[in-house]
Amino acid sequence: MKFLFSMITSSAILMASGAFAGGHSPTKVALVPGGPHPYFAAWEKAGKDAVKDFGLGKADYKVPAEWDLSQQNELIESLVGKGYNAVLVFPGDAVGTNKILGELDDAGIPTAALAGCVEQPTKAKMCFGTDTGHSAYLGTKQLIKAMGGKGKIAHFTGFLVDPNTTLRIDAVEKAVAEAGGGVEIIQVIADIDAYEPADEKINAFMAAQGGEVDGIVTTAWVPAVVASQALTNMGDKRIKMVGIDHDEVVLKAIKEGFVHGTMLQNPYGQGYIGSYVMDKIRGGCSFKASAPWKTTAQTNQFIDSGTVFVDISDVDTYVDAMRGISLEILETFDGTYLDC
Amino acid sequence: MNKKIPNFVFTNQFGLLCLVVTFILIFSTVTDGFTSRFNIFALSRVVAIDIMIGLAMMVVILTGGLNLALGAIGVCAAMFGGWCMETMGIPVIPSIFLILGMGSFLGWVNGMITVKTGVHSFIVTLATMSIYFGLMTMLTEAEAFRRLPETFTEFGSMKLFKKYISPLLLLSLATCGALFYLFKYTDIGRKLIAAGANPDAAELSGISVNTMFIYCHVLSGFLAAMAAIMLTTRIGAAIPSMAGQLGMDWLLPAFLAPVIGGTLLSGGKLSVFGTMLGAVLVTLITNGLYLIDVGEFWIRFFLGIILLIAVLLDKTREFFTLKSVIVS
Repeated sequence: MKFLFSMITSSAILMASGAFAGGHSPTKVALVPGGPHPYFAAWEKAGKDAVKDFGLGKADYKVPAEWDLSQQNELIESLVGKGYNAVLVFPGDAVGTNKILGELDDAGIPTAALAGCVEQPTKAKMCFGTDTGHSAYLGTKQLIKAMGGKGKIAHFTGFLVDPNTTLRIDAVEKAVAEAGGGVEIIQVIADIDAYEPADEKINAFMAAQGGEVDGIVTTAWVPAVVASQALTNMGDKRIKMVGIDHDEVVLKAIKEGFVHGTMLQNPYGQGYIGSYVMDKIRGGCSFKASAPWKTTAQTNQFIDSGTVFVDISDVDTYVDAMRGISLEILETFDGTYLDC
Repeated sequence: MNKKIPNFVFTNQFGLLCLVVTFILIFSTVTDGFTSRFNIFALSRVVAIDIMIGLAMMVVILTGGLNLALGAIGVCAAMFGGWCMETMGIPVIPSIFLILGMGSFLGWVNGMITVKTGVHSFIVTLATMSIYFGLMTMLTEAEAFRRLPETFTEFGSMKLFKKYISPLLLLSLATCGALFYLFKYTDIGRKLIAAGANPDAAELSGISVNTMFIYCHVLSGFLAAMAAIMLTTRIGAAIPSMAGQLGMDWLLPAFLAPVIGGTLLSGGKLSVFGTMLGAVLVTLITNGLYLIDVGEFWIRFFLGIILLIAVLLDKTREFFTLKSVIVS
């Protein structure tokens, strides 16, 4: 009984001293990825730049220790407890994440899905990410052009559970079909957006069919890195490759001529513009009824954060390219999407 | 002099309670938002699930065994419940009973294999962890059940006591009370403890040790299913990855709470309230470290250290266990 009494007393003390943070304080944005992954690293600088450029209270990048929905939820809850009043999140689960987004909305905290969408119905204000299918399509077009419009290609891509993967596979097939029969996909290797399976499967493929393949398109971060390493190690400049994202390994391989180019996504812009939008919404803005949303398999409130192809001619200035896309979106964002 | 001081003061639970209060005071002082309503509510919800997970492991540790399949049982039960409610359209209340039944059944399988083969439950549950999870993945094709009835999922969002406390916590506290009563005041509870403390002596005194061990595994499965129900209401969906790969994300809280709480790893002694306090302590520390802005990756490091210290204390406690009460 004493124990119970002590617990009740402690709870009462906590309740009595509780002061729930809220109101119109400066916007403090938490940028929370689904787990550790190099793709999201650019969110950190994006948040810092957003604080500097837009006068936000905070915009901090916080990574759950693992890819686990419960851990992500726990992290978000503690951040809100700490006073963050806007949350940008890569959903740990396309539906499971909706529950916490709804609770945050009830508490007056705006949220948005970043780099990946949650399924509707959702309380997330928007989904701001790469149009992955379009990016894969453009990348494959670039590859086919580099191959001279003919040859055999292999496609290395991400997790099968990621809905983006299907879109990417379809987009690569579409680009190949448009090549008019001169190009053939001889292999699609999926579920390899982690180093161990990517290393095993890509190197096995290169050993077995490296002589037959003329081009490689990769549409996920880790396969791009591993394939770039494989081509560099082989010293093979015959096989053309178009990667994705901006890992140093891929960029170095582009500079050395082993990789033709890469499709940059825009994680920096996602974090930078996402933070800006959260501040606007906290300031009283809302999305226009006539906003030109794009529709994806998960949501009809999608905004494309942009994609750009970078090759040896502009690999040294890729940061400028990313910033260029971001500024372009930002310049027209208010007029296009917001009602303030 | 000592006669005037209540015995509770000399127990492991009192030490834990002091630690809990100390950490509450520290985090209230040095962090922003620890005492905010949002944070206290979130804490109450997390701790509720961790208590249930800890209890599920505690009842198997009582036998001197382990249940590594705890998370896998939880996920299987949750996915089964999702199938019942979403695919079969079975109402919420019967579905909850079916979920608990599924958890109990999977626990029974663990218990049966353990007692029939004589293999340590560590090995048995290591194997069934993969079997259960693999079967669940095959049967569901890893597809989540995301359209559960709102009457079910809303329970996880409900707020009581001026929106400070989740009803999930009350459920966990009630379960603690029921388990305390079971082990302290019922014949079957005393038999379970006796079987864990000294199987040979228990067998000689007419207790069917194997049956008692199976009961413990069934109870563990039941409690894992309870935790799964709570987690499902909390995230609003039954998701294959809700307890991590193979359900292994539940293992750390499952060990931490009972071991810190004074349940002997060698079996025969448990502490329901200690397990509850252990879960509270671990959740508090985790939450406080988040708020202090210790890197997220360091939190796992600290929890590992805490577990190691708890295991070392467990070895020390073994020397004194004969002098202490069996259930506290």
